[in-house]
Amino acid sequence: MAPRAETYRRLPGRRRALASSASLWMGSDHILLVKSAWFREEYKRFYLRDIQAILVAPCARFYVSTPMLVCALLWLLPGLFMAFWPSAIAIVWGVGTTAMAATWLAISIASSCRCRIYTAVSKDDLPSLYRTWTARKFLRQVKPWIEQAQGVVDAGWAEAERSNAGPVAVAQAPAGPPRRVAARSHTLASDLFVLSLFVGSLLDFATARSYGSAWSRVNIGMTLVQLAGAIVVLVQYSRSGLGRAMQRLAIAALVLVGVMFYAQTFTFYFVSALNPVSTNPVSFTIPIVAFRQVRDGLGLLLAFIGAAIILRGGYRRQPDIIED
Amino acid sequence: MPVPCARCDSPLPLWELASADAAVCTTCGSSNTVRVFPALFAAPSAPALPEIALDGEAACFDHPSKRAVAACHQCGRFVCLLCSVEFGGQVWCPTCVAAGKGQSQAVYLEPTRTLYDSIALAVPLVSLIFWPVTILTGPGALVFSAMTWKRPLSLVRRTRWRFVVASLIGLAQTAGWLWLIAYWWQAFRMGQYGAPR
Repeated sequence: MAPRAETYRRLPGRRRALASSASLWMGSDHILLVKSAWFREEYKRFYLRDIQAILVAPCARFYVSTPMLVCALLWLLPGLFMAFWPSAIAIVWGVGTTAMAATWLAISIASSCRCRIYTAVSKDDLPSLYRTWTARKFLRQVKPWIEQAQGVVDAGWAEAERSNAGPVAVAQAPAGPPRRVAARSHTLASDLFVLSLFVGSLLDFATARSYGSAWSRVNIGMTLVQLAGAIVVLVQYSRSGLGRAMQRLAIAALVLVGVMFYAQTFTFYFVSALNPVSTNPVSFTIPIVAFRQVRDGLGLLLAFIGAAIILRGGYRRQPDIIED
Repeated sequence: MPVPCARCDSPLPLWELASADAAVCTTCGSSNTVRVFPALFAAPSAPALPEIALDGEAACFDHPSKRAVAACHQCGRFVCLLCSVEFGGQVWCPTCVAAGKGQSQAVYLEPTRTLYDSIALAVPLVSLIFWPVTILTGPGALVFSAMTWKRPLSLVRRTRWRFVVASLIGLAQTAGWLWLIAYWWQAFRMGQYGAPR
């Protein structure tokens, strides 16, 4: 007698790319992870009785799903004919594009996560869960099923574990709150990075109306210095040498430079399309200058925040030092 | 019993796991939403040790000296504690588990499947990029769909609409080519291509 065919119910979350996808399904006694690539599907079963823990950690996931990519292309395609549009429609289209890009960036940075499922013998990522709201929905759905299979964890399990584990474990897991050890809130590289934000923004602000390619080169050079500084800060953070506040500042600076670069390019072409016979160089028309001033204002704001971080000092949780 | 952080793989401290739903990693500082279940605290089970079969007792097919504890649901052979493989509420012997791998009856074991319906659909669609190829891919899609129609689909997909669409596209391409060939033949016979009768 063969086992009866399993009927699966779809669980929240699905990841679709051009040639691959991932999804989660609920079986009678297990969760099925389905990963497909081209014309092959891989299955992994997590039996409800074996699941030890499910973790969701927030982290940036810059992922574009296929449906989203199609929508974006459909939206961007008319942009090829922008030169023939009335100015009002072109501006609305540009604002809409920028708003959508900003929304995608914000969601990718602030509302994305990595989800993992643990059993006694495995530790697997769940690629279909990459947004926090989907992960929460998934947890809400599967938790009752797992608890039905395993029972509920006793509220005092931590105390019980500590007492069972003996003196070593007690020493490793103190009852009180962990000590907070001061981490380096800034380094030489981060100081230079904040300085480059200050100098770059002020210089660009001061030379927004100046003609000449020399200033333009200096401003590009300062932007490159800012980018390099932000990358160094991120590397130092990943090596646990720098506080989290400075890491966030570096991410914000990178996002600002990236978004503003594309937004400035869009604005440039708008203005070019709207004033094809203007004698004034496009780079120095009022919208472009105003745009640069807004960018410099935001850059200065970040620089002030960086200065505040340096002056105030940050704290980050560190593992406790076990003293014999 | 360590539960590693989902972001940096450092073990999350016990006090963080116990404190609330959000466990802050002491290494990377990320706030993990954690759900722990009783399996986390279960002691690892001891390896199964089959008992010696006494006189008159049923013995394992592969280990005649060991006492049988169940019969295989596939072949009916007796299996001892060591040989019994349980899944889906049934007991199988190791031979049936190995033999059943990849077959439809062993759906509980299948780690992969080939999506024949997706192949059938992709062939005539992709060939449209270079349309002369459709002279081969149109009939090919029809034949392939017919040959693989009864192959097991994805574990979670239940319909064969891809096969149907692939067959329709293949049929349309084949019909188009037949019409084109007939048209050319007719034109050739009428002398339009410089070969009068």
